[in-house]
Amino acid sequence: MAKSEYKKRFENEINNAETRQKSLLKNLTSPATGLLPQDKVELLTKIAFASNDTELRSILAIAADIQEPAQARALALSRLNPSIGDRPGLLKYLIDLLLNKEEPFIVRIQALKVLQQNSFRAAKFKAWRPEFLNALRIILSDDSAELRVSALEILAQNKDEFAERVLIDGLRNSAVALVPPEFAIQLLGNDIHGEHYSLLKEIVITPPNEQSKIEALKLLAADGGSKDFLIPFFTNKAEPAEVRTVAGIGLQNLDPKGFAELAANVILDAGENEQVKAVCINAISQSVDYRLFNGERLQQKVEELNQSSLSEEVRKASGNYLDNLKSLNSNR
Amino acid sequence: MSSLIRSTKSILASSQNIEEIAQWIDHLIISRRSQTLLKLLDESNTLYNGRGSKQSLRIKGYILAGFESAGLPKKALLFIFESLESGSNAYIVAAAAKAIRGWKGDPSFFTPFLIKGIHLIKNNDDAICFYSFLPPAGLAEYTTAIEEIAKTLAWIGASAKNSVEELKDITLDHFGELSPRAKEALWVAVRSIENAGPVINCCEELSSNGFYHLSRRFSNTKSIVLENQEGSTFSYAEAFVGKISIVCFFYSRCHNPNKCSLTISKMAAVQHLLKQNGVEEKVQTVAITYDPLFDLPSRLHSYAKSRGFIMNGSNQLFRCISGFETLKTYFGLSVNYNSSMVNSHAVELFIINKKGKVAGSYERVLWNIEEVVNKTMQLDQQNRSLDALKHGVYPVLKSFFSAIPPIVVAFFPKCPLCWASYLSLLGITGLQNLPYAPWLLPVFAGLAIFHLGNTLIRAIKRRFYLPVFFAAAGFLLVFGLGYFLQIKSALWAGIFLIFLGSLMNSLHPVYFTYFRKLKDKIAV
Repeated sequence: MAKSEYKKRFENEINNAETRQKSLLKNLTSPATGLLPQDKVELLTKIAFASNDTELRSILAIAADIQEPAQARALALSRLNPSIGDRPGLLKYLIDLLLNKEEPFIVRIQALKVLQQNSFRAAKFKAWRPEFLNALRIILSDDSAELRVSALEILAQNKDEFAERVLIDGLRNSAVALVPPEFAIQLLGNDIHGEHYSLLKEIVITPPNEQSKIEALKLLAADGGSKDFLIPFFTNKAEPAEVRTVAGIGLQNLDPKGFAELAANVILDAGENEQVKAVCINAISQSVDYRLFNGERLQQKVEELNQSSLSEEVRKASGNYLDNLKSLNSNR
Repeated sequence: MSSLIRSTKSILASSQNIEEIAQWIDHLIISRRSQTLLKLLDESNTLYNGRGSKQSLRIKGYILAGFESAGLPKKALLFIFESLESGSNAYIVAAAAKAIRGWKGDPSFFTPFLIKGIHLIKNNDDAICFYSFLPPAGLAEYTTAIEEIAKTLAWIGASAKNSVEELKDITLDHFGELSPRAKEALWVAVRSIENAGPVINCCEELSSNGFYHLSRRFSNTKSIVLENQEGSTFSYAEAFVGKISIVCFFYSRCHNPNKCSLTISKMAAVQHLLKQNGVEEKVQTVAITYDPLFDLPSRLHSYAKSRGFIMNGSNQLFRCISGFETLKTYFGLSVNYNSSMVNSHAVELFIINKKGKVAGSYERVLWNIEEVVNKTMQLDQQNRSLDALKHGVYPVLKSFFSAIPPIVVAFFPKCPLCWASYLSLLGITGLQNLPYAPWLLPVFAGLAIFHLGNTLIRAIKRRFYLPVFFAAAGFLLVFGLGYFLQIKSALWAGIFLIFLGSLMNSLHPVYFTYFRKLKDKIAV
């Protein structure tokens, strides 16, 4: 296709889209059309983001009209996105909408989504940060569980002190928990400087469920003081493979040399779990400094595993190990 | 309330309960014990042990805000400047701004810091309150850091007039970064400053740049073992003795971009400036991590490399693999931990002299690159002056002191008789000062006569009688005029003559040959 023809076709597409958008908005906002609620919803799914003031006003008219169906209003809000960053008044409107308990849930949650998207996209949003964060904290005690969880998630991503307190309280007392323990631990992981390290150790020892134990072990990989705590979870063959793997990754993060020693022992041990063995081979093969750890004996064992292991994971990991070793030796 | 009566020490030692601590801080604020509050601010205080960074900041912020009513002591100013320059959240910045309103002197020097605070926090402001230590999550009424800064600027009033144009420019908000509330508060501040009367300078001006000459730190550094970014280990002496060092502290997981990350970037600029001044061979730049368990050599290397820090034999990053507590004490580090994680720390930079001793430090304030290099070069200049002294005056002193041993040897009593003479002399000099002991007089007199006789015998042998004359004259002065007539000056003169006679009596025979020749020449 010639360049000029391509350009022409592209211009036509834009023009058609603009005409279609205008026509859709006209149909949506004109009382003469007498659209049914479901028709409005269908039309709203077809329209693009508001690109100018006129379109924005039309979309806002639907979003703000409490006579309109909630679904239509929420869809109208979703079409505001790129336009509101430069309009502080709209941000304020959305925050008020979010806090208004009289509004339908679907409208409030959509207002929250639009605000969240703009919180990292629009430069002018920074001015509204205090009001937005305060609104989210108010929502932590809202009647709607979904709103509470959404607010908690956004606050935790912002390393918010109040959100962390709510999460820790929930982990200590499940009766006040807003989210399941494993998710609470994940959210706490947003802030490595949090209060939670001693609590995480308690959870690992007496976990409410297996996933919580795994999530807690993951976070302990950030705590230099947890090195000795993690070792038995990695070396204990009675622990599930996933627990051992997570503990091993944590150890490698905190003490690569110490972990290399432990991992070599796992590789050399014929009675070891194959999944854990594969993880150890991978870990050592990616760590150039310790690849030659344990010398020939380890290398021979990896070659043997590459030939005869029943586990595909182990064969693959040992193959990678030997390839890396070969390229390292040739570079030398 | 019984807990409120307990001392600060006991409450800090016994309580991990945040509510109890809050209650105690409230009590200190109400009773205006600002000096006690001040002691609680340092990060190394046990109050912060084992707490997360958020809780540590809340405690620190709540204390700072308390200075508004308790009165702001001078020693707390560095904490205020630090918070306004590099505070990591709105709460601590707002608290610092609030604390300033407890200052009793001329507040004009706060204005530049408050303006820095606006730039620092305007994109990271938050809804906060100070009416309670642990307020509920969502607030019906709240303030913000910018609003607190604006309130303080309005409170400063006329003393902030020099900065009013800059403040107006900020308030015009060209980039839409301020909320209507913040703008309104700042306009109120602008109007208050403009409408205020003339400035009355009543009090001292503060010009601290955070630099301290230190001599207080002393501890044995032998237990300290450091590992550099390449994995090589050094003792403290190996790392620091022999060269001037600029040492900063940091940790790679610091979440405050105005602290550790900025510090290492600025150290790279220091390296550049040292090179420009041609002193890069004389001064080494060193960064030591607060987080030695996590900041392994590879992490130190990549952290420094990504910030332009040049690494070579003289410019290194260290983690302390042994003796970290000693290192903390030696530098007096303001840092604390939650488990192994740093929960709070100050900005700290030290200048170390060639002996490995701390010569000065910048604490809490954001140090200026040029100033640090200048201070270091001054130290180098001082060292060179000392070296010059060593090479100029020291040889003279050395030759002077080297002449003393031969003299001592020459006059050293070499026989029992000489020893007896010296002893008699020393005995006589102390006679007047002894408590009443009449039996000593005949003893010393006897010894003196023995000394005279000994000197005479030796004089006859050497055919040189001057020592006998000195000793005899001295004997007469001490016993005749000094002891019996109580003429003190005669006593001292007599002692001197006896001493002189004794010394001459102890000289090697070769000197007497020389003296005789000299005497003959004079006679001729």
